[in-house]
Amino acid sequence: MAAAGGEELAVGCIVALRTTLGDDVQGQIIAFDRLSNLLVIQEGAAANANANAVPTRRNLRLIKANYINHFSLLAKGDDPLHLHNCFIDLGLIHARENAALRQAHLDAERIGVGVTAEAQSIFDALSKTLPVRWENTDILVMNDIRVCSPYLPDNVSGGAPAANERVKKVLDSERKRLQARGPGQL
Amino acid sequence: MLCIVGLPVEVQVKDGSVYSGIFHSANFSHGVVLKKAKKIGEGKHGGNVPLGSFQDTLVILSQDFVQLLVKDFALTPEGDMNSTNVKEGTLTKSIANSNQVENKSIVSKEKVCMSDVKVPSCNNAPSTNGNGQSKVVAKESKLNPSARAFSPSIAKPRPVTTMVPPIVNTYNAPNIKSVGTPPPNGAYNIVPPHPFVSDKPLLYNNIYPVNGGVTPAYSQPILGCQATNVYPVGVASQYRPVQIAPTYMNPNAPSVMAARTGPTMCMHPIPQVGVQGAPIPQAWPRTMFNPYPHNVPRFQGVPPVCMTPPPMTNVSPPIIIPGPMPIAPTLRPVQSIMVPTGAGTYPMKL
Repeated sequence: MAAAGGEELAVGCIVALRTTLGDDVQGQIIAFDRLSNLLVIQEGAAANANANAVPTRRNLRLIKANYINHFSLLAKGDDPLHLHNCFIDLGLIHARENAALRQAHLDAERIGVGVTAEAQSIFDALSKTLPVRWENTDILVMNDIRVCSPYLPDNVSGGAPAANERVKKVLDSERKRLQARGPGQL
Repeated sequence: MLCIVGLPVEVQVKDGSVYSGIFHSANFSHGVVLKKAKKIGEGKHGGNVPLGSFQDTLVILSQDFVQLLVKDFALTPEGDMNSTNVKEGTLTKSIANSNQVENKSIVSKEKVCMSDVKVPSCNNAPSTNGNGQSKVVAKESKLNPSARAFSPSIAKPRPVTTMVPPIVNTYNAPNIKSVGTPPPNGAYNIVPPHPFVSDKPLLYNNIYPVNGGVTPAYSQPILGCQATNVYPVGVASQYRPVQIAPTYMNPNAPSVMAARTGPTMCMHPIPQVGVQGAPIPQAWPRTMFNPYPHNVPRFQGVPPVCMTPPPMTNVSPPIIIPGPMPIAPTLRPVQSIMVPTGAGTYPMKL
């Protein structure tokens, strides 16, 4: 860390800043890229200086310095990165991205389009115990039993009688549970 | 940046909107690419993405980008290079996958080496820890022979991270929460050197005192544009570039050219011969507008001022700030000018 006159910030400094959009951030500077004017900050307490310590997981922010409104230096610290520990496994990165995309696709499938928040809550509750999916605004349970709006036990149709009754009971209990949490949950 | 590829991130744009998605790639001079992105926070101006809807690919341009948040991120990989259970498995996987992603790896590793100096693993990290890692090193060198030659250094401090310029010294940007516009250019941005820009910052109201020690005229910026040498068209080289700035006038001087109504103010050095035939010094004398002396010799070194209207006398000279003016048309060969003095006018021949 070199300072050329004045007070220059360098890697490792603990800073507190506020963005022009009102976010307050406090953390340790990881890096600063001049060309893109990006400041990389790791939020939270300063990292353990021990290179062999178990790395803690904290939020990482990349902030464009143009949007920093207020800035204050809290403390100086050492470079939190230990370069001999840094490596990139490209295969792992590709696998991670593919897995994340698959999970995101599944999560997107779980979101109903054009349904109310109550309907979504009911869907999420049913999905904990039963295999469900959206079909337009209807909830399809086990690809056989259909629950239509307004998603009451009386709106359950299709499937075998035993399965139908089971879905009705589960739906009824989930609705009561959601109501018990609070009116805001439905 | 490669460290966060595939991680769920949140990106905030300048109008306050927040988008959540999987980080795919970024070139912060162009933009950030998110996969399976969803708008989770509404900003001031709405935008073209409805709240809650998924986008397979979302590109956020750099001019809109404010910040990116990665939650629960470990800076360094868990475990260390020497452990045999995690890293070997990881490396084995990477070798096994390398055949599948070989083509991508060539490009990706080059990018790692050449663009992300924070992670120099392609060269030095897998160095001394077993056959698996040395195989990776060998494979990397085969795939990317130029990686070693480039060698982003680990030993040396990371060039992009050692020095952080003062982000806030005395500047406090106005709060622009409600407006989706960034603060004025240059607030924090560091402009890289441009071949057409002089070393001096770009200033629109460039004020240069006219005194004896002034810098060579040819290096002075003109009208907010950066130009090293500006020669008016068709004018001999002894004419100095037009100086668009208020010039300092001695307030005590008798009224000389206190007012002008013309759009231009030309300053010409008396080329070689002064009034009395003496050579004229090239430097601007301190008392350029000083007073026009009663005797002629003071004209030596005092460049005459070209003015179209007749001068006003006996008027206290205000500082005149000339308006914008073109460069070429104003500098024209002047055959003779009338330079007023307290005692009258002297015709000056150029």
